[in-house]
Amino acid sequence: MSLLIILGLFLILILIRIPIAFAMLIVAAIYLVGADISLKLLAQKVAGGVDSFSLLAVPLFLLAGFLMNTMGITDRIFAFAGAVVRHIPGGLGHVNVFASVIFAGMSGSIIADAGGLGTVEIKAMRQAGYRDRFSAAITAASALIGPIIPPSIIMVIYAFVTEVSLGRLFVAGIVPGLLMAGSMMLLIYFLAKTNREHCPVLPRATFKEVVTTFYGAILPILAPIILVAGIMSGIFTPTEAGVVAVLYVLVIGVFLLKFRLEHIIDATAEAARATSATLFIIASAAIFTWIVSTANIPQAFSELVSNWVSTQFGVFLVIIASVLVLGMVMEGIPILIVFGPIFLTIATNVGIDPIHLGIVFIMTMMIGGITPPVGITLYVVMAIARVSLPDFMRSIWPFYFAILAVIFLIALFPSLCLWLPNLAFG
Amino acid sequence: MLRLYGTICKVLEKAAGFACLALMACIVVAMACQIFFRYALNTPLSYTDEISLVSLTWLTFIGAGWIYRKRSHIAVELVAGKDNNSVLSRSLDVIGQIAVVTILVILASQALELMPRALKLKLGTMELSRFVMHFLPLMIGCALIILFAIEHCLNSLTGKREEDNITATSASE
Amino acid sequence: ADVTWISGGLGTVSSDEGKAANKFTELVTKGSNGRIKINHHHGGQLGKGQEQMESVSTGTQQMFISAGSQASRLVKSFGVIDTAFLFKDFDHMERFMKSDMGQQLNEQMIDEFGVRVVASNWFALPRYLMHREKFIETVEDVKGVRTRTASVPMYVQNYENMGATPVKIAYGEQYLAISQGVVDMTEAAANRILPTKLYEVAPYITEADMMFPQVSVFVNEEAWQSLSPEDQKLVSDAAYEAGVYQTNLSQEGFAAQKEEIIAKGGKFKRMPEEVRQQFVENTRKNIDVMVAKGLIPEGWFEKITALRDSN
Ligand code: NA
Ligand code: NA
Repeated sequence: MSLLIILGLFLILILIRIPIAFAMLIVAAIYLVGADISLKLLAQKVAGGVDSFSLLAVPLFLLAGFLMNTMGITDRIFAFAGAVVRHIPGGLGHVNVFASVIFAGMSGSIIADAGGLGTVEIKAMRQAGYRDRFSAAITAASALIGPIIPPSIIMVIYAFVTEVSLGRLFVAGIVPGLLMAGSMMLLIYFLAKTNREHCPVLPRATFKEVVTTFYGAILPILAPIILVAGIMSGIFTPTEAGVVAVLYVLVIGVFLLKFRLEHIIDATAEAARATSATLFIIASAAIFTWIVSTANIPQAFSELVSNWVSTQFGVFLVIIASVLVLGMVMEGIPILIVFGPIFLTIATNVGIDPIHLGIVFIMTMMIGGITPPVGITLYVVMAIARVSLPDFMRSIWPFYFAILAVIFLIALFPSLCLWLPNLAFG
Repeated sequence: MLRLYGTICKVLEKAAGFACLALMACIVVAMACQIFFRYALNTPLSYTDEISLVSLTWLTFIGAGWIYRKRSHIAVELVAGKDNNSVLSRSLDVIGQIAVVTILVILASQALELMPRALKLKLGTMELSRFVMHFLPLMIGCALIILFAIEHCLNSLTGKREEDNITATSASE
Repeated sequence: ADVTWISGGLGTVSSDEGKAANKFTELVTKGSNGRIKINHHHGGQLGKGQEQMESVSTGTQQMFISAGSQASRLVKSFGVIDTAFLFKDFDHMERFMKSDMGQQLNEQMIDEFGVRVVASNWFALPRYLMHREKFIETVEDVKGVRTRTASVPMYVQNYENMGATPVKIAYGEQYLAISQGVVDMTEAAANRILPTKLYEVAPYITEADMMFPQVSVFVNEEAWQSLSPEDQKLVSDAAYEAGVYQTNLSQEGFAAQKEEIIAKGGKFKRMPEEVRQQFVENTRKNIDVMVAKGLIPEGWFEKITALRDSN
C-alpha cells in the first residue's frame, strides 16, 4: 500500500518537472523515513551506484556515436542506407530502421543510436517533409534494435545475473533483431501505403549511387565487423569494444575526413553530458532495487505465478506483462538485476530455456525504454526532435504492437532464437 | 549581488565542464592502454580498470552538477518548447528547486556522516578509499547542484530569463 | 515477531549457499517460535559484497551471509584466508579461524566496524584451476599464463606468486574472455563450475585445491547485543547447523555435478601434493612483498603453516 502512495508521489513530482533522478531520490528518502531505515543507506547506495565495469560502455559508445556525428560519419551510414531502401513506400522511415541495424552491430547502447544516429535521421526526415513526431517514433523504436543485435551491454548483464553462456546469448539475438527491424519496416510500409503518414516518395538510387555511398560508408560499415571480430578473436572484451569503437572513429576522422579539434571536443562534451544525465539516474535508481527487494515483492510475485500458471506460454505472458508494467516505472538494468533471477526460477520450472527467456525478457524490457514516465530513449529522442510527450505517444503506439508481435512470435517459436546458437555452438 | 552570484555559478559551471572533459579523456586513454598493453605487449596493466571506474563515478556526479545549470537533466516535458516563463511555470519551478535542494542537503549530510568510516575503507587493488572514490564526488556534485538550484530559484523569483535550455543531447545538432 | 532482521546474500536461491541460508532462517524462526524473524534476500538484491558489508557495519542491514573473505573489505588481514595453497584442507582452515589469529581478526572487526562473525563453518568446495588447453601438472605449466582474476589484491598476488600473468576481467565477461582467449586460465570453486558453464570454454579442470572458500554469517554488533544471551545462542547454533547442512549439500551434490561436467566434455585431474608444495614454496619466496603490501601480517605465514597438521 505504501508503495502505491510512493508511486503516486513520484508521478506528481515528475509532472511538476522535477528531473527523474531527483524525483527518485525524494520518494526513496520518504520511503526510508517511513520504514524507519537510516537515510545513510541512501547516500551509500547512490555514491556507489555506478561503480560497475559494464557501465563504462556507456560513455564510450556514446562518445563513438557523437564522434561519428560531428565528423560526418553518421551521414555516410545514413546516405548508404538511403541509397538501398529509400524508394520503398515509407522512404526515409525504412532508411532510419536500416541505418539502426548497421549501427547496432557496433553499438551496445540504445542512447548512442538514439543520440548519435537519431540526430541525423530526424534532421533528414524533417527536411524531407516528414512529421517530427513520426520521425521521433521511428528513431526511438529502431534504436531498440541496438541491444538485441550483438554486441550488447544489456546481454552481458543478463548473462551475469542468470549465469547463462554469453556467447550463445549474443548469437541468439541476431535473428530476433532482424525480425524487429522487419516488423517496423512492414509497419512503416503499411502507414505509408494507407496514407496515414505522409512519406514523400524518393527516387530509387542508381546502381552507381549505391556503389558510391557504399564506398563512402565502407569504413563505418566495416566497424561492426572489426568489433565483433575483435571480441571473437580475444583481442578485447565487449566492454572494451567501446574504446575500440572510439579509436576507430578517431582514426577515420584524422586520416580520411577533414576534422577539427573542436569536433572532438564538442563530441566529448556532448558524450559527457549524456553520460552524466543517464548514469545519474542509474545511481539514483540503485536504492529502488533495495526497496523492492526488502518489501518482499519478488517472493510474493514468484509464489503468485507458480500457483496460477503452469504452461510455458502462460509463464511468458505473465513475464511479458510484468516487464511491460515494470518498464514504465523502472530502468532496464535495475529490472534485470532484481527480476532476472525470479523470472529464471519461474521459467525453468516449466522448462523454458534460459537463453530463450533472456531474449524475450530483454526485448520486452526494450519497450520500457520508450514508455513514460521512465524511459531514457524516449526523452533523448524527444529532446532531439523537440516533440511533446502527447505528440510522441500518438506516433509511437503502433510500434509497441510491432515489437510485441515479434516478441510473441519468438515466445511461441523458440527455434527463432535458439536455432542459430545451437548451430554455432552445438 | 545577484550578478555576482550568477558570475560565480558561471565560473563553477565552466570548471566542472573542464573536469568532465578531462575525466572522459581519462577513461578513453586508460581503456585504450589496457587493451594495448595486454594484447600488443602481453604485460597487462593492473590499475587501468580502476582508473577508468573511478573516473566514471567522478564523471557521473561532477557531470550531474555541471549539466544542472543548463537544466539538462532528463525530465518529463509534457509540452516541449512552450513558454516557460508563465507565473504558474515559475512557481512550480521554485517548488521543484526547493525540493531538489532539500533532498541534496540530506544526501550530502548523510555522506558527510559516513565520511570517517569511508576513509578507512580501501577498495580494489589501488586501495583508494571509498571516500575518494564515491563520497567525495557525490558531495561535490551535490554542492554544485545546490548552488545552481538556488540560482534557478532566484531567476524564477525575479523573472529573469535564463540562457536557452539545452538538453542532454541536442546541442550537437 | 519481536525482532525482524534484514539479511542479504549473493548466491541465488538455488545455490547451496542460498539453500543453507533458507535453512538457517527456518531454524531461527522455529527455534524462537516466531519471535525472531530473518528476512533473507538472495542473489545480491541488497547490493554487491562491498555495499552489504558496509550496510551491516552501519546497521542499515543486520546480517550478511557470504564468503568469509568479504570481511577483508573491512579488515584487510582477513584476506589471508584467500592465500593460494596456504591451507591444506577445510580442517586446517577451521583451526586457523579458531586460533588466536582468527580471534584477533574477529575482535578487530567488532571494535572498528561493529561487525561480528557468528559462524564461519559453511564450507563449500575447494577452488580448482581451469585451463583452455591443458592440466596444470607442474609449476612450470602456469608460467606466464594469462589468468583471469577478480579485482582483489590477494587474488592478483596469488597469480604473481605462481608466476602466472593476472588479467583483471569483470565476472560477467569471464566466460567470453576465456572462450576467445583474452585469458587462458581461471579458477572456480568446484560447485560453481557447472552453473557458470565455464567447463565449456576451459574444459581442463585441475583439482588444485587452491583455496578453501567458506561462507560466514556476519551480524551487526548492535543488533547482536540487543538479543538476550539465550537468543544469541539460538541464532549462533542455528547458523552452525546450517553450515553443516551446506557442507554436506556441497559435497553430496558435487558427485552428480562432476559426472554431468564430464559427460559434457569437462576433464578432471588431481594436482599432486608435491606440486602444491612447490607452489607453497613459491609463495614463501614472496612473503616479504606480501607483508610489505599488508596482505599478510608479519610471521603469520609460518604460524598458519604450523597449524597444518596439528589437532
Ligand atoms: Na534509427
Ligand atoms: Na519506461
